[in-house]
Amino acid sequence: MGLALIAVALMIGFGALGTAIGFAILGGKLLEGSARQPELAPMLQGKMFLIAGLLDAVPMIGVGIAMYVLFVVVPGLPA
Amino acid sequence: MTAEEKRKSPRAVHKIFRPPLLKIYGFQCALVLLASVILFPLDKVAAYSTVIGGMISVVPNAYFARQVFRYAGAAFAREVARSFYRGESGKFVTTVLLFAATFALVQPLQVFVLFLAYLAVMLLNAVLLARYGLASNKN
Repeated sequence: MGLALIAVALMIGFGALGTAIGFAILGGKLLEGSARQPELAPMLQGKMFLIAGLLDAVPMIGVGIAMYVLFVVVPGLPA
Repeated sequence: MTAEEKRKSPRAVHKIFRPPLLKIYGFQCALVLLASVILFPLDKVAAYSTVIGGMISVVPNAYFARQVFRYAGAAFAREVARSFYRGESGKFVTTVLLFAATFALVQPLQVFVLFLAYLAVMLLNAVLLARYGLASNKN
């Protein structure tokens, strides 16, 4: 049971970390791009939205599996 | 409201590429409901598992999209980045809560169907956004 909880913590933690790093880079590039060429800012925002949709797809699946382990697998395990 | 205030207003969105969010998320909801209606006579549990899985994907994505397009333009670059971060953290928390609530409260549940619907709607979201992104590039 302890290992299952560690697995859940790793899945959620690393999922959040990966998303956070990706979004930090994306946000930084958006600010940089908007400062360099302000007229492209709306276009950059739209592109960023598209990339953001792809960026967090895999971590979200990991979160779903982590919740499954936490609420379905762990209660069935012997303590 | 003066002209200067109007220009600085968050609603002053000029020529921004903005995907038709209502159409995209409405289409996803409709498709999920259609799949559920088709599955209902065969297996009721699979039918509501499909709806739940689809909605777990649609609701956080719609919240994120709503947050992302609150501001637009170079004058609001900082607010845009901030609303991106707020939207993403909200999406993450909402997804965790919805999955947790589903697994804790809904019994019986077909987990495989739930994840399949979740993945299908997520892929559909990516495809629709990419399609509208490519369409905006052509214009």
